[in-house]
Amino acid sequence: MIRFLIRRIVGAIVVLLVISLVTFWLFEAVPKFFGSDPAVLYAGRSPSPATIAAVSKKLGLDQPFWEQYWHFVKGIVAGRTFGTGQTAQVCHAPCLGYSFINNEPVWSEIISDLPVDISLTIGAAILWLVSGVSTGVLSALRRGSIFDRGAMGIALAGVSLPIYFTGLLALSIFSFGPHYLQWFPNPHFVGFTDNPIQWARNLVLPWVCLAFLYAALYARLTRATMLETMSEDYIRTARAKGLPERKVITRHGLRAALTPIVTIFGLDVGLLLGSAVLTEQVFGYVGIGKLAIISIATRDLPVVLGVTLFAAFFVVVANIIVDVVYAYVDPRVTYS
Amino acid sequence: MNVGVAGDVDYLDPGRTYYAFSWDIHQLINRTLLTFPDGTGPDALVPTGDIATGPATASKGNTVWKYTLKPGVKFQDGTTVTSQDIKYAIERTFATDVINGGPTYFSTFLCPGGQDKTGACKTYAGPYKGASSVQGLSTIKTPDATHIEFDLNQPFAEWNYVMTLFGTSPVEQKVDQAPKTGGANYNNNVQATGPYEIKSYAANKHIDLVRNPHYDPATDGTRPALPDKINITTSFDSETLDNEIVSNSEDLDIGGTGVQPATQQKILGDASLKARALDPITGFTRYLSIMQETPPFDNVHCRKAIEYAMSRNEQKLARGGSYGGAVATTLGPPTLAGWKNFNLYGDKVAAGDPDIANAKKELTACGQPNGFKTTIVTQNQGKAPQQAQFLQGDLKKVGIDANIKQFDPATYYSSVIGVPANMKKNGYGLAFAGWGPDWPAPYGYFENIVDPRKILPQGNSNYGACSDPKITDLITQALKQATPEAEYPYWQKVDQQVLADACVAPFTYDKALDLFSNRLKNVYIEPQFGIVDLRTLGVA
Repeated sequence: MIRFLIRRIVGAIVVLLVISLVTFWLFEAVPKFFGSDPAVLYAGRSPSPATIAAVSKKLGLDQPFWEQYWHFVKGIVAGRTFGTGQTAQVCHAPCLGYSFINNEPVWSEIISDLPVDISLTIGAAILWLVSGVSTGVLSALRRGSIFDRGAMGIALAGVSLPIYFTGLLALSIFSFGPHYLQWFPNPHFVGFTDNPIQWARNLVLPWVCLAFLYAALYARLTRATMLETMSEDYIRTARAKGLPERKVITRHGLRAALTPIVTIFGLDVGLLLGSAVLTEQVFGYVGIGKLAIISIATRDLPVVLGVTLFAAFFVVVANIIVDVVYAYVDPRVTYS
Repeated sequence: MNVGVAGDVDYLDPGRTYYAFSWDIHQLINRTLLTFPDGTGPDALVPTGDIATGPATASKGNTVWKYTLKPGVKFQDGTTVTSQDIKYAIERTFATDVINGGPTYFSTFLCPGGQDKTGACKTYAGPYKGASSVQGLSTIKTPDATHIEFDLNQPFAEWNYVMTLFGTSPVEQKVDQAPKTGGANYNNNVQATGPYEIKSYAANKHIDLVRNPHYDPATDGTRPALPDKINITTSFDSETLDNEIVSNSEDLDIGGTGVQPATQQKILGDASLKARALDPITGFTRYLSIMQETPPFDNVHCRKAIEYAMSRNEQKLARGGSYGGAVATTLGPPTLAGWKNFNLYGDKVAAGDPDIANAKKELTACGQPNGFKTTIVTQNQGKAPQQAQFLQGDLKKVGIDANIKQFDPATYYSSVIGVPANMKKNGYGLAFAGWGPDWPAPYGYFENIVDPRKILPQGNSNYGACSDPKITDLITQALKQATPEAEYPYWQKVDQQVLADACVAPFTYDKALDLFSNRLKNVYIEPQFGIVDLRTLGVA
């Protein structure tokens, strides 16, 4: 188990290093492609060549590529300092860079936006996992019934309707609609610790909309794998042994059917934490996704790089967790 | 009061800010040596005292400018503002590796001995290089706490306007010299002198302003400052913000660029909304830069052909019709002091229509009677792509075959049209651009965009590379004049010469349709930037 974990973690670090190297190279190369110094972006309107040179030196943009990349990686582990003397800006470890547009370490920008994404993702994930899997199981067990057809029809709609449709529809009815339907007026993010009730109330619409999208996927997937599993020989054997149907379904059927669900659940949660761009945009929340969009628009390259790495980190970690959970869910899987 | 904006302030540090709407916010927080009066009309374009008692009268041929400070102006911590605080604020803008982004006029006029060719001040590098560097700029003298004198390295009649810039907002040395609160970190530790102080700031989220307890309205004649709290939501989705103003849950979009097209339709069709909308000229001129280093635009006649062939009415249409702009025939905007209307290209052009016959004549004179191939560059968002398509169609009618290249707004100015070598190398002949004045007098508008000496290898703003020595001469002449008023005729000639050289083809004076909530009172447009003046607003 420990050897397995170490192997996976080393693999994850290599993946993250490769991602960081490619992203870093892109940001280094793209401005040069246009024949301009990246420092121009941080030197204001009509900067003189002297100012561009001074900024370039301060940000270390005048150093060779490999040196810059080394400082970046070292900064994640040990922190780093931009500039020297009295006006040096310290960026503590884990230093993912420094936003010279917002004058803040990238790490603290991400951390301050993270609660939005954690709130969005966890609430929605619980909703979609419970509703999606249970709908899928019930549909599979009552294959061809009215429930099955109805649920799968709704699921088809859920899969096909993007969040910017369901989200805007929900907003126009429940936030900006007729007075008697304005159950969630003026939704904006409120910290959980500031006001838990308002926090939950404002999140209901995005949770439901996100969950609708994902639950539909999960219901269809659960139904398909459940149908497949329930026709396996060992299910017949379990029934022949005289096990009660409830046990056959939960212990033998669902457990095997859950394996692919766990895989995509891990990835979906990991992905969503770093890139719920559309949901954030529709509901006007400023989370990591919006931070990425704003940073791309303002060419705040350190932030884009930081967000990319952070999002990749979630996916990689989710993958490791999924692999560990696998063995618990499916006894056929071992760590060797 | 609740206001919103699509972007975020560039900097809260007064020495680094350059966006017009950021300046509007800064007026609430930071006082400057001089400022513009509140209200409207031509008087609002003449600098008046803010921290200083009033504008200075120059001596020694416009090189020495002396100001007296009002008593009783304080920082938010209760410390009295002295002339040294203003001197220090200007000195720190010389440390361009730390304090950059803002206007650079201080370095131009106050660098002892003048700047070198790269724009660097070799004799002074700001107050962050150890104890000896503090209070080191010999061109600013502070004989006592209430007097300040500027000894310019060259004559300059518009100096009183420079004193309205936020670079003159006092900065407390003890705050700025402490590593945790100073230098680049001053952006998050601004010591207010205006009626409001910053309670909290989160980048791309919000700026919350509350009353500054040490502000004394008796020392200020321009800031009614009515609301007790001002909540500014930044990074607001433009259309959502419009909707919230329509439904009165937000009071104003302070971006000053006007409502979105859908909201414009709503306003025009609804009298109650129209009653709470204003449609000012913003002071921005939109123009086409004709890159004279890109052949065949090295020939003036080929450039003139563009002046005649472009339909200014179509450009106006693409920018929102009569609510988006008015047809322009001058580079300078009508809000500029000393501006004079003229038209070099005939009645058709003045009426906004193309003049095909004259365009063809110019093409023949250029040796390209059947037209030529060129490239139009523009941004890939908003109104820009439509404008480029209209122009492409206009040029086709005279045989000019133009293809369009679109770029992201974030890099368009800095990396595409701001790099002359890049323009030339890629054969980019025509570039859409816009410019607004730093202050409402000619130097503050024209200097960066037409002075041949300001053609920079990177971060260039003279996009068409206008290099006519006649322009240089006229600017030199203008700067020798004793008063701004005496300069005006020279700047009018600069404007005319730029158009005669056809290195820009202006097409609209920007307008913006601004909507505000039904509880907002005292709504004035500041004439210098054409945006709603935050100083006067109140909520009922």
